[in-house]
Amino acid sequence: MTKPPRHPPAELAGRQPAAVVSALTVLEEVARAGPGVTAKEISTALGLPPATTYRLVNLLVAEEYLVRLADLRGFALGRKVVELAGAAAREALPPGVPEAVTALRTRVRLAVHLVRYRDGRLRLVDPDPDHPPSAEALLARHLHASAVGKLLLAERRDLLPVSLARFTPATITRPDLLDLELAGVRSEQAARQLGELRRDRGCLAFPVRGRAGGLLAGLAVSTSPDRVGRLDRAVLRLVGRCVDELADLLAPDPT
Amino acid sequence: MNGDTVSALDDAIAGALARPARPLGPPPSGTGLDRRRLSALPVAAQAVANVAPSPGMMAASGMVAWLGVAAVPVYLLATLAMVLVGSCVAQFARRMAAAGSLYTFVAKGLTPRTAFLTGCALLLAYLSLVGMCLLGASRRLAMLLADAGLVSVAERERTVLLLTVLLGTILTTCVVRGIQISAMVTLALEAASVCVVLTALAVTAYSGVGIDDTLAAPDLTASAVTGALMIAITGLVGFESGCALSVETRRPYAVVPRVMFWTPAVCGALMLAAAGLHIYGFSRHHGGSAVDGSALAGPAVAEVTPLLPVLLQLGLVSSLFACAMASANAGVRVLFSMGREQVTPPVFGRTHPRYRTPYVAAVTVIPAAVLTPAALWLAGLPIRSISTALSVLATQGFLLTYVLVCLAMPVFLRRIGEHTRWASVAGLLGAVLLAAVFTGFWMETVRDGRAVLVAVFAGLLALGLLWFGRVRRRVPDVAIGFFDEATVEDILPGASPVRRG
Repeated sequence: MTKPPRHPPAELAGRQPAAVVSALTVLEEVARAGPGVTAKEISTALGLPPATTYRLVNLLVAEEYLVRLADLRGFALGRKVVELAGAAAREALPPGVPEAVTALRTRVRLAVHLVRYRDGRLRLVDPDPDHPPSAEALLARHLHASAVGKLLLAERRDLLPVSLARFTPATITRPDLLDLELAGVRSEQAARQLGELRRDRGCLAFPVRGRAGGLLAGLAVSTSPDRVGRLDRAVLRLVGRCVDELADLLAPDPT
Repeated sequence: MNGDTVSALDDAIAGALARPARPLGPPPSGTGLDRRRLSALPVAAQAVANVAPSPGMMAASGMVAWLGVAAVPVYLLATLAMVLVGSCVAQFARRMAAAGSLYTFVAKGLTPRTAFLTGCALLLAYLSLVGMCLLGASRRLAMLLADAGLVSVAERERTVLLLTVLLGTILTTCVVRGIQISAMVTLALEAASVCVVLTALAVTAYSGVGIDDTLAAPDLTASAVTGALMIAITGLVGFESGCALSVETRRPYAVVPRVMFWTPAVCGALMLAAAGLHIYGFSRHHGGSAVDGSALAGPAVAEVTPLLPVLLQLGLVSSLFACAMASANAGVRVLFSMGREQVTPPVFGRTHPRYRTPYVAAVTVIPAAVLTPAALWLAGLPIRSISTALSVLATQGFLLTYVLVCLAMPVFLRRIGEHTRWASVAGLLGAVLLAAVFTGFWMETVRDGRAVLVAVFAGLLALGLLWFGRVRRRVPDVAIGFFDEATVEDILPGASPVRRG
């Protein structure tokens, strides 16, 4: 066995890292110059050869870090740039939100989770620390198997995954049945999940809506599947009040 | 990298995260098409199916019979030319997603009138291809049915007509029902077809059955080589139809340019492989004589396995049907774009509320493309000459479009300030090369006594220009070049161009 080389292989040491650095400087230049900056302007500002700049911007557009604007000359930062910040960029919750959720937790003695929906993505922003829910990645990927996912799917059926994965015998994997379920979510303004992701866990989720009625967040209470169906009226009232409170906090009155 | 620029990007990200989440509405409907849904594979299938490599592979192996080994450089040259066109188209596809494909691309480089001419040529090409492929598929199916004794020979012509209508109905349904479905059908049919044809060619090459004993001296006169080049190039056109799906493709600016470059390359390679297999089979069994490509489908292969000719015919049928489907998908999207721009009746720009496909365009032009040849046949024209006419019309349409798109590319890049010397050279070279091919094709057509088809082509385009003139008199500043613009959804929150615009 030969020892692994101490230096990175030639092709790694060579052009590729340089290209990555150039790509990042292009992103930075677009951020600095503001939307509408053209490829030629980027090339001049950075002192990069035009052909290289055009290749880089088109690569960044292809990967959706940059967006080519409607005039086809100008560029703006793409939505995907946020992903550069990675998982570290946790969203700051408006003041009062964590307190409202914690208050509900102490009163209902059920697991309470808060998710937010942004750009068709589900984010677990306040999971119950005592009863941790399934991983965010799992929830976000298999929207059909969770109550908070069904809330999102009921608004945005286009986010439906191509194949509906089965986790337990209760998971809804037939598109027609799921459509029926989602229609129920829309009419009842609540979604439930009965052991569809994990056999021992059921969930009831309510939408938190902005003033125009858009879906902002979802508040979920979780317990065993057989208890989800017969939750106390008083508990549901408390949850409902918390949903109203969250709506005010997350979408404050513009005045 | 200095600290200042890093913080500009950081600020943009922090600003985006700090913004209140915009409530989710329905997805932006923009074009009315099913935006950003298809993965790369169906888009590639659409492009490959429209080229229809299977019949092309049969033609390639047939060409060995009269050109010998010279068929290889002929196909190499044709492939290079089409890859050049593909890379010119990719320059557009990297920068914009448009259902109108080359029609919209040309609009961004040349005048609206030229763009409309391109659109008409492209539409004519796609619709002729739909008619030709469906007719070809039903002719082969009817032949199989007659061979199996299911229909009598007397009824064969009527069977062809019935099958054409049946296949046309299936085709229209798939195109309306959704791009996912029609793209998947295309993919399955085309893959099956290429596998069958490659198998048949390989079996023939190894068994030596079906290889002609008589020596054919390669005919290497200039006119023979030009003719062969025409066959090779016309066998490779159609790959641009992948662009028509760009609005419906996920990550279109990454996927579509790659499809534009690789489709002609891979199809060319398949045809080279077909020619190569014949040359190999032939030198293996006869030490240098020619192979008769037509023997493949005939009784010779049946000696190896009686199923192979049937499979081969079915493979060709499925390739033809896939080609018709791909052409129909692309054609209705060109017409849809014209409808959206109101240069044709706006009703063509309407999409199905549920399936999000240009259904009005589909239910209008696909039946027209199917029924016109059927009517000509009923009027007494033989099926074979109808097929030839449609093929000649389609080829003229594609070649003219390619010349114009190559010309438009450097102009477009100059307009948006991204031109390079290499791009100008590529565009010019492509335009000159394709113009030469186009002229050659015309001369060949006239020499074959089909000057009337050149006249029909020119006449139809002239009608198109007359129509455009009429539209322009009513709406002088009619806007052509409708494409899928970036939406607020695509841009980082806080980074939209409000300050400048």
